[in-house]
Amino acid sequence: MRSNRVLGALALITLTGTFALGLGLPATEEQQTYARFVAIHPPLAWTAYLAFGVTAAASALYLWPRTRRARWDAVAEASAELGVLFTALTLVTGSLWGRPTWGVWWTWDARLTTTALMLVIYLGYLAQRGVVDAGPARAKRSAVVALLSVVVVPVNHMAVEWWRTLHQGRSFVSLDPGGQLDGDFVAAMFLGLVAMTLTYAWLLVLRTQVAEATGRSDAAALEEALAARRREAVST
Amino acid sequence: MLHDAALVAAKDLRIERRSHVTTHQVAPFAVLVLVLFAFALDPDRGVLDRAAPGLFWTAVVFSAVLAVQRSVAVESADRAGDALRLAGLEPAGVFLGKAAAVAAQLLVLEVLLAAGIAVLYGTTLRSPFVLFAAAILATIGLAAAGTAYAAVVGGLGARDTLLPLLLLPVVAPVLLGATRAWEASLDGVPGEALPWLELLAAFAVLYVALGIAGYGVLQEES
Amino acid sequence: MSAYVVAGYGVTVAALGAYTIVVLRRLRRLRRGDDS
Repeated sequence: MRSNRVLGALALITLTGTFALGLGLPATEEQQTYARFVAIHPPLAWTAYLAFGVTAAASALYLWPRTRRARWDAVAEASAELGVLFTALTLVTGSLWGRPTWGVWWTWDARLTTTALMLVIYLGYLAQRGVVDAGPARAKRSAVVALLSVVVVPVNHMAVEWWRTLHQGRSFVSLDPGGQLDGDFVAAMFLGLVAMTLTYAWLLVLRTQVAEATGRSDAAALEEALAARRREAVST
Repeated sequence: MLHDAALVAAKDLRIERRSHVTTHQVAPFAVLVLVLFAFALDPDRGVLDRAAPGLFWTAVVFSAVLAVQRSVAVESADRAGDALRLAGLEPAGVFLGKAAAVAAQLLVLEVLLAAGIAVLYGTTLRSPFVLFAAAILATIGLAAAGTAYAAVVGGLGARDTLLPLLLLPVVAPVLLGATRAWEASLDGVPGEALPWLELLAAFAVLYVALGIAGYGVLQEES
Repeated sequence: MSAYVVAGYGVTVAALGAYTIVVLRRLRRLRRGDDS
């Protein structure tokens, strides 16, 4: 696909730019050099949530009879897998940022906790896809799972936020750069956002193609096996 | 739809009355969980009493997984699930009926476990009205989400490991809300439970609606 | 340069790169007609 090559090239360029910009960011008083994470951690998080949303949207499209196509199931699978990747990276970079800055590998604020929950939800979604062979039954089941699961993300975020703030006198650490950052940092984060989104989009196209091709080859293999059985039955 | 729900609920509860799975297996399991918590945490330092709401609701959530697994398993025996569909029962009614039966069993379980934490952890059950309200709302949410997920993965071979993996993250807000509501009650500030009761109610409404929609989708032959 | 920052950027590059390679390989195999 020609346009995907262009997308890939753009992704690579912006990603390289992000790294260059990010690693070149100056040290700040608060965060020393650790604020360099701002170029990759928030963008990874944003993309993870985007991937989750795409999985849910593709699932809805699949379930709606008028738009039901195997391609949407393939997109849902691809986006979920990418979601696992980006969510895991979000958590890892978040941890690596938090440890030197706040002294902790983990903190139970709403964002991190919801992100961790989302990772487990994605893994569950992929797990239930893994136990059955491809086909409309799996596609329908997966779509229902995706939609049942997506709603808990905002509910949980709200719940954890209330939990961690309704407690009087409890100040909690958060991996928010704190809004004290100036233009350079904002620019790096914005470029990172664009770069990660482009990367995700490029990989989504590729991974969807893999899912569709796998589905086709599975279906063909099944047809072949059935035909072979029929030939056997006729000849005996 | 409600008539179908009542039929299905009555059927499931009748099966329970004859097979005693909840009373003879799930309830002892739940009490066992409470006991194991006492082994894991020091019973002499007041930790158990302070943690009692959380431990209680953790035990309930694990028991809910067992309860909904059982609820779906009864449909697999002798192709009973197909029989329900052939009988022309509305999928929404089947869902509500099964969820209601699970909720009823869980509520009975919760009464038992409440006695359990009062006895085993020395917890004083203050503000029973708030405790009860939280329990009802939380149970509806657990039963609805549980029944929906159990129906989705119930037919799969790996359902025993898949169901907890799928369901537990989703009911995390219920665990959070119910525990905080019970904490507020037991700490003598039941007014603080209000936002949590709202959360529990919202979750319950949400997953009853989603369960109805999901059952409809799953039952349609396409 | 902080070790944490290097580790963070490094993991990101490594993970994205590895995933890309795996997907491209699968795609190539599928296009050739066999998939494992």
